[in-house]
Amino acid sequence: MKLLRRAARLIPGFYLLLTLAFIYLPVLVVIAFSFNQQPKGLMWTGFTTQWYPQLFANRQIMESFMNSLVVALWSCLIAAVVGSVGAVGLCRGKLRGNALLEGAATLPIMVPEIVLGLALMTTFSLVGIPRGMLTLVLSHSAFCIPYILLIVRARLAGLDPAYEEAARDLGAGPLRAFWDVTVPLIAPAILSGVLLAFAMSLDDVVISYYVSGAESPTFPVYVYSKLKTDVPPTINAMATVTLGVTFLAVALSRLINFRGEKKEEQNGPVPANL
Amino acid sequence: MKKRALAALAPLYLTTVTLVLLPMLYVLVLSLLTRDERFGVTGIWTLDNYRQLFSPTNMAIFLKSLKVALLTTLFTLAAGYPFAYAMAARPKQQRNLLLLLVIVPFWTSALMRTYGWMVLLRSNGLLNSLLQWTGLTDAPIKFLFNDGAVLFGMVYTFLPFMILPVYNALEKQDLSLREAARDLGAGPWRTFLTVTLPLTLPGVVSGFTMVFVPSIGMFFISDLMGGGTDMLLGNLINHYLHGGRDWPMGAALSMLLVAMTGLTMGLWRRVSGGTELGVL
Amino acid sequence: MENCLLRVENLTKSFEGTSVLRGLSLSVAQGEFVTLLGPSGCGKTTTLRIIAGLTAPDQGRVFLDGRDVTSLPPEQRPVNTVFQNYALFPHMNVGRNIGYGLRLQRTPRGEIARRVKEMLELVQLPGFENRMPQQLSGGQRQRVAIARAVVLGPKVLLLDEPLGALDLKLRQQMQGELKQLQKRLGITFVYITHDQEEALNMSDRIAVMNQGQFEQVGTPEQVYERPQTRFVAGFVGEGSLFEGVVEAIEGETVRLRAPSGLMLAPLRPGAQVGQPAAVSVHAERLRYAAQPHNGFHLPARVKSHRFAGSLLRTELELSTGEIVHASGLEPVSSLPPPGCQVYLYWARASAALIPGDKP
Repeated sequence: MKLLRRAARLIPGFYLLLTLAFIYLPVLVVIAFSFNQQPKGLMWTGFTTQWYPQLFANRQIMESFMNSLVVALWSCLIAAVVGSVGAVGLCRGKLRGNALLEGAATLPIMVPEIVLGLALMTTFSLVGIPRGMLTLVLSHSAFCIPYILLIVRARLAGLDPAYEEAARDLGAGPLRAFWDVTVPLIAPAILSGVLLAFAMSLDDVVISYYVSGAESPTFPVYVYSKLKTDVPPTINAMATVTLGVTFLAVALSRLINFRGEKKEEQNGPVPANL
Repeated sequence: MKKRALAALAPLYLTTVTLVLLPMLYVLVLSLLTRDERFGVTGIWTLDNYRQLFSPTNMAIFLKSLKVALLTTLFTLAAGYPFAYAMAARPKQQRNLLLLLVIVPFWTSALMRTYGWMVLLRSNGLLNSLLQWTGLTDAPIKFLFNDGAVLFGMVYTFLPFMILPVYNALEKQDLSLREAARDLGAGPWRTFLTVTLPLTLPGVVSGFTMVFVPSIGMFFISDLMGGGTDMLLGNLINHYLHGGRDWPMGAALSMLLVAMTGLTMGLWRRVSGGTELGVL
Repeated sequence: MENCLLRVENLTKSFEGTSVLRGLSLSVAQGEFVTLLGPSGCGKTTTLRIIAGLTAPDQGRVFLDGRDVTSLPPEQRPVNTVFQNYALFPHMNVGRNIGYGLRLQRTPRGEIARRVKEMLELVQLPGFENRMPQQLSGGQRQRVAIARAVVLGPKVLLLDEPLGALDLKLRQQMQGELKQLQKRLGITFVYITHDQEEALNMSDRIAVMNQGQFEQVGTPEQVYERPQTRFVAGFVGEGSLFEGVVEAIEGETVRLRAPSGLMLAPLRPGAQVGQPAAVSVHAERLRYAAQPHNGFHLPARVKSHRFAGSLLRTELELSTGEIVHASGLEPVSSLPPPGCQVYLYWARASAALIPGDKP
């Protein structure tokens, strides 16, 4: 009876491990098979790294990857500026339209992606912008901004206004106080948001599918189209690289967040100013 | 002060209006126009698209998408809640690690991970090879290209979306509430049903929203795991946009999606006060 | 007032329809230690913030050294603040925190280092330049906050309940240190607290605040011994309030009749025969005997004795049912036990008369 009880206590742990294994299984399979001699999934026929050089030698693939990178970098830059500055504006100025603006600005990550993709594609067509890198950057910016906006906003909300006030009290003007005190304290949040947005942009399939031009697909769009037609042998290597980059970006983003939270704890509770 | 806030908000206003509000408005307008074979749309106003929405085929697809989305949500809840519960019960350091492990795939590459399952589950894939090699089966089992596969792919993709909000709600919960219940005589199951579960309801509703809303519009999962034959709402919209070149129809379907989203979010707001998504 | 360094005139402020300050005026002299004392929500922090320039008053003015600074932003006022939770910049070490104001004034680096070192020695944290705020204890952070504010040589130092987060022993120690610091530097201190003992301990003058107004401004003795309003009497020190009507005035003594009995109090301007008034008696001044004493007739029943370390606290019930408090140093064995009928009295000079009706 005791044995049963001890076994029962181990169940949650097992469930955790099992589910985690389930979550990571396809990832591991893909990574493993990227090193397989015969990648089209029968059996393990031998270890090789040949697919990686082949991947990097394939011009089409590399071009699409470069497109993804360029789009992601531009979108993140725009999103970082617009999102952070916007978050500050929302936090500081208590204007009446704020709630509405915030709701509208975060719409892109609330509605199904296909709706946004359709909306942007048709609007670009209406306005006369041909599908290509420009439309990609604009579209990606649209959904990257909310990530940064929300993360920085949350950080600002938890930030004690006394810090900036202390800087003012000690002789700093409003802009100087903002720059000396608030900006360094929200920098980790901005970075965290940018990393996240970067990963989202690199990964995006649906929206890119609708707004990219035929000559300049992004990497996921290229992969998706290939998955439906003929699957190249380098596909596993492709997937592994993508997973690696985005995993890294997201992991970094979370780690920055964790460190920020730990610092808050050490500093003591956020006081209530009466 | 006000001036500076306005200046800070200007870029946000600009991007939101031009990249979000106007395009969404245009979709609404589109849904009320007529298609044109060559250029996508003419200027003739009509409610035909909406009438066509209610055609038997379209309704069937809509209902099916609803069904898939609901099932996905239920399964992710069934699998995800215990996971979140077990996670919240772990000591602090383990929790952070687990959180990281769950979050990272959550945010990355649904496409690639779905592809991974394809590799595993297709007729000449890993699982079938394994089964045949061990002699458990003689012929490959058709795991893929059916409704079950689509559901499986959806549940897999959206599982972390359910785990995270539920975990957040569980983690924030005051343990002394559970202890009080036990102290007053409730057994573990009773405590769970009467104390833990109701208090984590906002988290569950968050999870529901985060799974249901994207699910009804998903198309590439059903495309890949389902073989492209069976159509869900997302596939249908895609069809109208690319294949059939009927933008107004696609727009009308999108409005339907938006309505569904709005309803779900409204429900969520009602139940949980709509404060946190608990995900970011 | 001559030598007046800081003056606020008719400060009025409302937040979202609620009136927080109602026409406050106060003058503070150079080198004074003035405390704003009052319960939470009385408006003392708001007053401080207006002086610092962090909040603007709806009406009223702030004068510093004769100059109207009401419209000056905080960075231009020669006033510095020690915030309630210290507000040490978390991303800078102690040295850079203290040196922040000096950097803004473009003081040369060597000079900054020297003055930071001087400050740290002044607050008894030598060598702490490179530590981060997160590594410091509450008391240490508080000292760094003080050093950071003082290093700029402000004319007035504002302190917002700086000792609130510290435990009792540390608080008492810091009270002494702060007072010494103030004397040494000669800076005018405007101090905020809700702890009346702290205020009585440290201040040259106390301004007792309630609901956005000053109830009384005076030295600790004045505020303690001669409260001018019922609020001050109730807030400062432990005691009881006896309500009654003035029956007669005989020389310097006022006799009052109350439902609970007859009592005496020292004369105060404003006392009129036939008008209501209250008598405030601190617990340690309230005495009782087996018989009515000296012109008093205040019967009461002993309710309980409670041991409180350095004092013994006694609750007594008047004939009207009201409870009053007495405290003393005698051991409980020498006191009438609970249930005993006694008669209250006090030394006439040790009570305070508060003329006027109950608000």
